[in-house]
Amino acid sequence: MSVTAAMPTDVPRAPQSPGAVALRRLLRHGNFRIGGTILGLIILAAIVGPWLWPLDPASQDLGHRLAVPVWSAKGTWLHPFGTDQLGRDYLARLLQGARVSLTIGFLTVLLSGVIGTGLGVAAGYFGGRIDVAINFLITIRLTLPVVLVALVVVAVYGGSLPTLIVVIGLLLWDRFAVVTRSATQQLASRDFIISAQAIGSSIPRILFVELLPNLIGPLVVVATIELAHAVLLEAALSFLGLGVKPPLSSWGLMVAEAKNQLLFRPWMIAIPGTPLVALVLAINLVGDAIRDAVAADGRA
Amino acid sequence: MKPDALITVEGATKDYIVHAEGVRATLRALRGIDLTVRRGEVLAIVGESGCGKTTLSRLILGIEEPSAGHVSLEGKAATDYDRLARAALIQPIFQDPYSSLNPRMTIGQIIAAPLVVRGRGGRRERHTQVMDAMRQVGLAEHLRNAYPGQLSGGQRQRVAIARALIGEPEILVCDEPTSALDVSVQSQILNLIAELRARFSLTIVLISHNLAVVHHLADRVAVMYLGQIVESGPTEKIFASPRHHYTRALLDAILVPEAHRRLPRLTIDAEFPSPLTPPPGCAFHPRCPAADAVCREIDPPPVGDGDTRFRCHHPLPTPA
Ligand SMILES: Nc1ncnc2c1ncn2[C@@H]1O[C@H](COP(=O)(O)OP(=O)(O)O)[C@@H](O)[C@H]1O
Ligand SMILES: [Mg+2]
Repeated sequence: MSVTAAMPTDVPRAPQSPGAVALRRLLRHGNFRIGGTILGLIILAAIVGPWLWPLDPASQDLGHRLAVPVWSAKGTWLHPFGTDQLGRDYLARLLQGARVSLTIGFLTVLLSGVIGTGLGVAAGYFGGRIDVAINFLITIRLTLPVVLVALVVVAVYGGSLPTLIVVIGLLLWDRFAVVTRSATQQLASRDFIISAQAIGSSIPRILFVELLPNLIGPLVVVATIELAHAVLLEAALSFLGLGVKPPLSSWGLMVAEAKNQLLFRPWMIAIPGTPLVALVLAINLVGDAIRDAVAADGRA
Repeated sequence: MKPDALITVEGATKDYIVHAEGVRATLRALRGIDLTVRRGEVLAIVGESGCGKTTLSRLILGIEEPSAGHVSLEGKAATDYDRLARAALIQPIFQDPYSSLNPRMTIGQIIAAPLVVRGRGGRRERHTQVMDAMRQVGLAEHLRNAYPGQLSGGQRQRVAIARALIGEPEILVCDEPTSALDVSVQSQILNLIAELRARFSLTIVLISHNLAVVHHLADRVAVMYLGQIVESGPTEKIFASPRHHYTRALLDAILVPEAHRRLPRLTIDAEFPSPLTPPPGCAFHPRCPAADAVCREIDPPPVGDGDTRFRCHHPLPTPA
């Protein structure tokens, strides 16, 4: 047995938390580098863009309606991406759209993540009737067609930003619940949870200190999926005229407003469409990389 | 309850509802366990995998409630204790130190957890106590900031022992504490348990599937078979003159090399029976060399001579 030869040496490697190890693996992942760069650029544009390009996205320059972008023959730097039918600066609207997309995306994921994780952990840890009840809730949620319900609610209550966030957030928690429920069930039978009970830990301590840190990997993976989901849902609702309301801007709304120009001014679709596709692609690439980094976590 | 009994188990039965091939069935993991553990002694519980040792330990720890019967610690039902009082009295050591330590916590955090939970002492006090505990179980100081994933099995089991002892409990329930470890490390851990027992005058329930493991440590041995205690008594007596044929077989198994640790002298085709379909009569009769018609019909009640008790219609003779 070579096991004896490899007796545990007491020489320590630098203390490495499993989280730090996964993070290092993530940073080396090609998909993360590509997706992360794109995502980083979009986030950066959303944050500093309106400050670098301080034109009001709502103000109408009626003398310059449907101006062409700077790269076409008659374009000017006054409106680098041109203007829309009402003469609003397209670049300013694009940058505001980035803010709207990301705000709705992150806030809905936060909301649905809290709801779904709470339900999933409760179902997985307590089991029994609580599990049955929560499973029932999950089933009901899964039978609701997301887009249809969102359409109806927004049609009834109007498409303000807070309404959109709440509606989308209340619709996208199911995957969080399903994933955390089964992960919690697996963890709850591990001896370290029984140890935590045996040393007299309170239930909040067991859930928040012992359990939750072990769920971070799967939670981040689900969060990326739902982030992409939420961004697309907002774009779809806005495109259908039931999401973000003008004069506020949104990429989906910009596409919708430009759809009659498809043949003569295709850039008006391409300018908001490209970053939308890029954003969703980037989120998926990052999610993929996180899944790999977490899956390789092994038994430690 | 005897005056010196710290743990008392009376007629404890544990049923689990299981779904075997889609059919609901009752699995009786424990079938009327009677047991007392006296203050300061080491009681070993020995039996093959699946006989109910872990289930019994869970009842004693108060993690699960018996389906029938009673389990009490110092005269009070194990499940009636509030969580902190029970933690101060009894602590577990688990078989698999890869599963018993939270992978996201440092060794220092894991060992300090019982103190944090009880809200005992300040940060600095706890640090001192953690250092003390680590020294006592033979863990190098610098491992305090390591994560379980960086430790060997033996080191992890030392962490588990330090965590169990830092709150100064009276009882330690060790469920196969060495069976997941390298052979070379097993005796170190057993020696550590023996040493700590003496230092803290602990009462220990030591569970193992291997009689050899408990020989040096145990004051008394209880042998389990299919949810029952089939023989119990002082260690020397059990080793010198077992009365039950199953105990005899376990003792013989110690002598054969590790590679085929199967029970040697038993009927060839007989396997450990399923607790879902226990054999009628004496549960051991399908594997017993002395089984006859009576054994197939009637479950032998426990009989005792002095401090030894056993369940057998045809016990092995005592040496004159
Ligand atoms: N939670 C449970 N649900 C259903 N069956 C169980 C459960 N725990 C233990 N059992 C069954 O009870 C019997 C005894 O198990 P256990 O106490 O783990 O035995 P041992 O520790 O001696 O190997 C086994 O047949 C096992 O499958
Ligand atoms: Mg066991």
